Amino acid sequence: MDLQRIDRRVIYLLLLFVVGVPLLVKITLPISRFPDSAGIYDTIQTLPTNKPVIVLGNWGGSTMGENGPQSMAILYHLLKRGIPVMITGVDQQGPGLVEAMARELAPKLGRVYGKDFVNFGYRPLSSVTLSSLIKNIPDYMKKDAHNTPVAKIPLLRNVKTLGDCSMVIDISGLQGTTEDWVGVGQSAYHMKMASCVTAVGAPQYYPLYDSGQLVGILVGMRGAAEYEALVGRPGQATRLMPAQSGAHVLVVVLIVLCNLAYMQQRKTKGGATR
Amino acid sequence: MIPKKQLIAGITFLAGLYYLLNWLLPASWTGGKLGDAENTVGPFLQVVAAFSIGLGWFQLLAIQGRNLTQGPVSQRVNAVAFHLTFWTVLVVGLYVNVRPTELPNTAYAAKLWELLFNDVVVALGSAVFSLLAFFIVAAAYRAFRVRNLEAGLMMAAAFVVMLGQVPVGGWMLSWFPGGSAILPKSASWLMTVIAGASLRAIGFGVAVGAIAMGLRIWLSLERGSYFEREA
Repeated sequence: MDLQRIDRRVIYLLLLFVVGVPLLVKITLPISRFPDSAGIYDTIQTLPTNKPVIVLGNWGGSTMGENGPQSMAILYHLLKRGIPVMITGVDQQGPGLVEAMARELAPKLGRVYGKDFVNFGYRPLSSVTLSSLIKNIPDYMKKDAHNTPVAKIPLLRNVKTLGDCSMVIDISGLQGTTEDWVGVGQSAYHMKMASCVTAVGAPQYYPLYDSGQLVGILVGMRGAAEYEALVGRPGQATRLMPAQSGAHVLVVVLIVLCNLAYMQQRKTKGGATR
Repeated sequence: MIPKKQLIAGITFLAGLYYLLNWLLPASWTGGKLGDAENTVGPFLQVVAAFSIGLGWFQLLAIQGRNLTQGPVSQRVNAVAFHLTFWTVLVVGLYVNVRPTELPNTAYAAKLWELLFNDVVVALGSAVFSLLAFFIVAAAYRAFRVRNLEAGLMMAAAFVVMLGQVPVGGWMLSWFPGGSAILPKSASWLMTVIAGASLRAIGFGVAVGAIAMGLRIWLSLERGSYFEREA
């Protein structure tokens, strides 16, 4: 068998197997703790409960596997601590999905819509429109996603500018959303910021984390699993980590096998030419 | 009559000038008036963006309409699927969200909207994206050959990051004291120090390029097929 030419259908089946088995059979693996995830947890632990946190649901169905568990873990922590949550986002699907999660958690934690969390829905917040929002949030938002005027939303009673919010958490499957908030929002009001991103998009945020502009980063499902461990509520990400582990190990094994065969082939060819 | 190109160049220059002055001038110089105007000026961008979405609609409808009437069978099937889903989502969405007051808001319509949006659009997005995993694994297997030292270093770094990011990486080396932290810590170091430094360097280059690009657009110096044709 030529290890350099394994049929792609065999690879697909192997992947299906290593991802599928951990979903059917309960496998428990220890969850590591990276400082980038702990940074968000530690910051939220110190936030005041009278200032809202803006949670940006900048994700949709395509990145739900990673951003979904991240959103759930972050919302659980915020709502459990009684920190008001303002939801919005530049993805048409994200804010609604995040609100649905908040509504799922709210009854268990004794929280209600309008007082403890509010959804402003999809807003096209580029760096230009963002500079309008941060100076006068009620004037810019005007109504929530359910057409309730901001004057009737108790959560916004003491909120005027971004300075009245304690933190912005960007849960994003998109590129550039965190940079917009760091550049426009944080530079003006110096509030704390965190970013929860897909594993593939994470490297570009490390310079912001390293410089202290982000208090932490949740990286993909690994970050969500770590956060679930930090808040003491193992959920979807913890259950799915063995499946992701299996996929990563499979990639490594396939690359190693292929390269061993490649080296063997080079050695043989080299010998033949000599 | 003002030529189109000059009109676009004028509006672009004025919009850019406003934001440049608003950013650079201290608020005390303008009495805060420039900053206060942002809530009036900002929504213009949304209006322009809404127009561009509208133009996209018309273009899509025109292409799929042509495919439906003149295209080969395969394109007609795609066009039928497009029109079916497009008009269903549009009609149900408009009925549920912006219906005239005399029409009742039936629970069926709301349920149908929820079904279309949450259970079809979101689910399809997840399904399509998850297929990428299969292609990525197959592509990594086929393309990743250690032909030289650089490729070898890259593969070593990739293995450390891939295994360090998942619990199995810690578990693999947990047979000796402190071993479980080696791969996660190494992965973290690679991402923060090595990848972070190179991305910061790339970021500086991109920012300088963005300034140059911004100036070209602001002053309408950018050349392209649109401007050449419209001139």
